[in-house]
Amino acid sequence: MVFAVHRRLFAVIALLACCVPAAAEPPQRIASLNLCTDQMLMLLVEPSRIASVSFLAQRADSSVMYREAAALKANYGRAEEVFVLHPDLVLAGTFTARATVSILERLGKRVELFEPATTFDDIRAQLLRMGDLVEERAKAEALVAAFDEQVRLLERPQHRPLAAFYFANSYTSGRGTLPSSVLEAAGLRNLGAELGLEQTAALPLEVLVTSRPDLVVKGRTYDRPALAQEIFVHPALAYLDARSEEAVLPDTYMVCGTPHVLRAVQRLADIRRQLGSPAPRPVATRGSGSATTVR
Amino acid sequence: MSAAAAPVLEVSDLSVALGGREVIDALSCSLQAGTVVGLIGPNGSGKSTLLKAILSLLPYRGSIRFAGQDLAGMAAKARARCIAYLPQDGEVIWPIAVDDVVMLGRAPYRSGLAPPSEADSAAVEAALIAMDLVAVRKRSARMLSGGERSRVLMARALAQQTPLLLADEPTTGLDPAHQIGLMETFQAMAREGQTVLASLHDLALAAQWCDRLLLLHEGRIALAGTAQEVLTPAALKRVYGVEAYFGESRAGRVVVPIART
Amino acid sequence: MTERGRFFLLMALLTGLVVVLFVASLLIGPAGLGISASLSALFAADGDVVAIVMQEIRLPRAILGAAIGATLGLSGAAMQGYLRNPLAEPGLLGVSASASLGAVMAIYTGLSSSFPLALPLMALGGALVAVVFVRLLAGESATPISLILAGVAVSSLAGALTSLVLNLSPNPFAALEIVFWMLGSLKDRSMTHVWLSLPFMVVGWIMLAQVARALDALTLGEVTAASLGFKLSRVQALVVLGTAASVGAATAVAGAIGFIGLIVPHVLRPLVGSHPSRLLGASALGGAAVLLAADIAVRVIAPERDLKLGVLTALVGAPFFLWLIFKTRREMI
Repeated sequence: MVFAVHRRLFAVIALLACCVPAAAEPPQRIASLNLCTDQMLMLLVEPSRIASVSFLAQRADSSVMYREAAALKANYGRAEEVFVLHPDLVLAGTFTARATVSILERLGKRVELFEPATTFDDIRAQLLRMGDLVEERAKAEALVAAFDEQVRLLERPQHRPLAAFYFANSYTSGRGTLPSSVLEAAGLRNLGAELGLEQTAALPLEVLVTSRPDLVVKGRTYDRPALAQEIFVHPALAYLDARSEEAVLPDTYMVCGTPHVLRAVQRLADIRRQLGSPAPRPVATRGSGSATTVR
Repeated sequence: MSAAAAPVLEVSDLSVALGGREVIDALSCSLQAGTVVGLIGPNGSGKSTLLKAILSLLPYRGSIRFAGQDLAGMAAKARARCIAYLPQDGEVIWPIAVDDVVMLGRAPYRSGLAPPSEADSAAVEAALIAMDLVAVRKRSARMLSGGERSRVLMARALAQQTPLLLADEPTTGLDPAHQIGLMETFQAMAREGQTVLASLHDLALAAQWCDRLLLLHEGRIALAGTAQEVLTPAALKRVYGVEAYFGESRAGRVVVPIART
Repeated sequence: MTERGRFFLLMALLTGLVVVLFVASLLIGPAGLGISASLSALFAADGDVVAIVMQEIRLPRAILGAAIGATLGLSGAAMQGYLRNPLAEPGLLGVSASASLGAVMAIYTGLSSSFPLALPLMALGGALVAVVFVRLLAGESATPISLILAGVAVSSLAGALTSLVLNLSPNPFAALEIVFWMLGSLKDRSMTHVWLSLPFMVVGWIMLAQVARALDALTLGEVTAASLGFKLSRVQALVVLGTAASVGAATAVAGAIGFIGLIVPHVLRPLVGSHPSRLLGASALGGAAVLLAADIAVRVIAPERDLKLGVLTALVGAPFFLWLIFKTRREMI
């Protein structure tokens, strides 16, 4: 008897809990905790509807849209600072701020999670999903159409040189990563993928050297030193420079699956054209690093 | 032994300050070759300090001359060929074989990591035989009894083959047989022309085995001479604050402290 | 066979072991090069990729493995002999941790990028502070346990300051590199690191070799050693500076690698008749062999993972250390 009453009570509460948000208007106070959801959000809605973006969105060294983000309120992914903004929609990445996300969910906030995009199809799908969530479907479709048009215009070259990403601590991007998709789109082969590496994986320096890539795309170097960056000045890499082009590209264009990745694709495609066809390279002499550094 | 021979060691006007206090205060004395000299005196009278000053381990004022040569101007290695030292409570940290410990006494004669010379080996053999250690020569010096270990350390000092041996309370911790054995060794060394200066707390041993005694009191020599001359009731009362029983045995004078005064 | 003959046989065997492990270290790597091709590429003059891998990646790693291992073994033996304490070792006494702190300050402030010698010099300075501190504390009569406690304090403080410097660095990678400085690695070291550290290590080795006979004499205590003609102030200066120079330079390029200086002298001591002088050379060779073997093991066990050297040495060394404390407690207290 008592049990039945409790069950009925529980059902009522459950009904209330599930049905209140469903009746809500388009979200007007959207908080984003993740650099990538930040940028998609800024592409789709007016700044007035954005309650907060992550602090990374405002930093030039991590965000493509730091100028747009500058006027917005920044958060550091902490539950209470987000909660007091009274957001009606919280956007987060599946890998970011797990603890914060679970607290906000328990407090009854509507949280939507986005996986990291690794392919151009992911980019399209996530833009459309985001468009639905913020009720800007038309804007999202327009962005996807423009993106498709630019992808269609990309060159599909006969000769595809071998390129390798080389990040701090000798990591590279293997299969199933956005940078790998970017390389493919730029008409380059990805060494990490060809070596069978999955995700972001260690690429031993000696494997990089013996693979003789045509292009090494180094990760960014911070002004302040760290051992992780010493790999970029390893003498073995300097010898390799004589036989391979080297490009430095801001990571910011490849961190998030937004249409901005096309700027990375175009830059890499430019470098590929400079590499040219597999014409005879200049004779490699050790130490004569005549590398083409592109920033 | 002629009284006119130059003393092995001549200490003049020696002063040593430790922590602002004059532990040795304008002390003068001399040691004749071929004698066993007992350095006696109460705790804190400066016995160990005097021995360390002679080893040049402490800064001092005054002069210490070895066979007429000023020790202050002597290189450490040359000094180590003149004066050997037998510490109180000698230790052997690592489990080194007995004959290797004795070989350490040859350090002043060896250079670099060269193998031992024939003279080195001969000195070690002689010291092992003298201290009756041949049977245990390959045993670890840490695994020996206290008496055996003190013989090992004595053999180490013998192997140094110096004209002068300084021994800091060498009989402390030894049973009577080993004490007498050690004093007999000192006497045997003296017969060979070597000189031994040993600090002693046991007045009976000092009286029986030393050719001369130096009685130290508050950093000065209170009395110097034979046991008869030094170990007087008045001196013992003044310096040690004790009353003693005096007797005669077939080995000579017997002094046994019996009460405080 | 004479004792001297046995010692030379031991040294010959250890040398052979070091040579074998050195060559093995050169032959192990992810690039999977052929044995004869890679060994001949070591001496090739052109810029062939195999030559680059061998000369610029594997050779410095093998050289540093041997030199740093030798430094740790030798300095462990020298510190044990000098402090007359079987638990003395650069890692346990905080010398490595302080050297790490010096190196971290040189690197992460950017000082070493404008003045490369700042790296070994500041690591040397850090090591020197720790050795002098330990020496002051040891004085005439420190028990093994009080030395170890002092080492714990020095290590903890240096570790905390290292962590602080790394956390304050604006470079996001810096904070993760605490692991390198506390556990050590030879991954992707280059000839630059060899040139920066090897000269200091060699100078340190020469200094420590000078005290061999004095360490033998110190077996009988400081006063006896002095009476045998050894100048204790000179011995102290050589041990302190030799340890600081060699351990400082080693730590500057490979981080703090523990326990080699403890285990190697202990295992070898009975084989050299416990002579501190003979233990120096034997421990240097033994340390080189152990570190080369550990560095081969981290590459074979987990080639993808960048396993730290200190993890392996601690897995073997820490239980050994506990056993040693147990044994020392029985013997010395």
